[in-house]
Amino acid sequence: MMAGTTDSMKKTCATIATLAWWTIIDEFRQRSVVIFFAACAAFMFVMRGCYQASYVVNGEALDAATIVSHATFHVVAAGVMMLAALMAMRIFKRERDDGTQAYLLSRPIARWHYLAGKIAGLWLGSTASMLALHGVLCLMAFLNAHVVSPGYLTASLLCSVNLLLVVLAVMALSLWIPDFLAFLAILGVGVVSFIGHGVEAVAQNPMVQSAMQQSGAQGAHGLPWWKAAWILWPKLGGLEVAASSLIGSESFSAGALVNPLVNVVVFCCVLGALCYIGFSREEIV
Amino acid sequence: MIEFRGVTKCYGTLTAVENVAFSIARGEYCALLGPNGAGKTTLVRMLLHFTAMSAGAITIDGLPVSDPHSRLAIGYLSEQPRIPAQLTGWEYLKRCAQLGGTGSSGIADDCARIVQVIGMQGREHEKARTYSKGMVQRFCLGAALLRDPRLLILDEPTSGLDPIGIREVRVLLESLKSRGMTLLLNSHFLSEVERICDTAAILNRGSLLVKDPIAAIVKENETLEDVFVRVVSGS
Repeated sequence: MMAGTTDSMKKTCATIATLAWWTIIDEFRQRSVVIFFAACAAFMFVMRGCYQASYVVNGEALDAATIVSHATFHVVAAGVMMLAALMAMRIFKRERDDGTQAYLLSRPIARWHYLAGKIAGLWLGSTASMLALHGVLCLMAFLNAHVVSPGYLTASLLCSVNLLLVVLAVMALSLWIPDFLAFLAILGVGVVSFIGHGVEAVAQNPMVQSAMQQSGAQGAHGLPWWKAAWILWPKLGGLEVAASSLIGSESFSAGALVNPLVNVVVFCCVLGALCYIGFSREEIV
Repeated sequence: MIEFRGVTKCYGTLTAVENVAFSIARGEYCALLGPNGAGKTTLVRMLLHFTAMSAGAITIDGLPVSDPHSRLAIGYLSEQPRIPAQLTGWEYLKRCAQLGGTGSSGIADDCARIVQVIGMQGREHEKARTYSKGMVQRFCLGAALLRDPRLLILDEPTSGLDPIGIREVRVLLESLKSRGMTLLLNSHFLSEVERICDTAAILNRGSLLVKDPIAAIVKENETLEDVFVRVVSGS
């Protein structure tokens, strides 16, 4: 009995791993993904000179390596998030149209195996892309500014949770609404998340808080709707900013990481369940 | 082998399949016949659990079709055969064989054998986007025959083929009969059906009109086509 269960689990894992590997191969054969990587190479080529520049703000000289490392980290993380959304938005439609779903699901494969394989493939594929790009940037920082930043790749790994959320959200939404709308919706959620995080950071500044108290902005009783919405909003920006504090000499606070990480993981679970429910009802043609 | 019990499928107010009940025994070659829109493809899609039933039950070897193990030894050829454009015919066959659920040994040998059977030697390493409709049809039929399935479900297997291809498919299906394979054939080529199949299930407007041995329903001086027209127009 036990041996049978273990054997069945092994088979399931092997099937999901096979489907994930095929997803990665198929995605990286797409022309749009190749174009994206060409754009990334061009971006890195442009960025290589920035490590030699000097940056002065209010007459104070800033560390070029730290500034450029942070900027490139965020640009690559945001870019790969967009790539993950682009890959995820068309996966169901493309595989329905080219017959992939029919040939896979006419085999002894459960729908959740197929779904798990697709999600794992997209997530691992985009995470590997982000790690590779961040790895190249890390190497560039070392070669140009002789700076070693061990936290760079750890931060990159933490940001991969954001990629999982993006993949799940776009896949789940594309089961109910047109693909491009699913992509735009997640783009909107991401933009609001980053702007909201910036506003939240500014609002925590003591000067801003005292200004708000003087103007009576916090005088209202109860929780305003926008504050409640923000608490429940996916914290993509918060997680990325918290992860980026691992880079360079900034002080890293584990406390600041926990809240957005838990938020994103909870969203992943909910969206994963929605994806499963939606795909279980899909008609295969 | 296959049992349909009171199978019904509704799309909103439209009933595509209504209370269909029949069974197909092991080793039986059964033709699924009916005019366009009779519900044949819907029935096949429910058999593969591609679409959910509104009512009833379908089992394969006693297993409900919702159980993926019921598809362990099924070969399926879709009504619209397609191969992802980025794959070669060989890659497609290999992928299908890998997911057959019968282990990974001998996959390459099996694929090589199938390439011979479908007559595609020398073209198997070309991208699918360069294949004609008939070539795609052949590779998809090959994929259905991989790993020696016990049940073959073929939806219009000769629709894109030339006369030689049609003849080859017929000869192939006749040769598989001796191995005890079960066949569910959905086709409009009634002369081919008459030569290959043992029984026929005729559907019209979602209902099963008849399911009997072809020899019993085709009377003297009659063809299966005559029977088909008589049964469908009389329903």
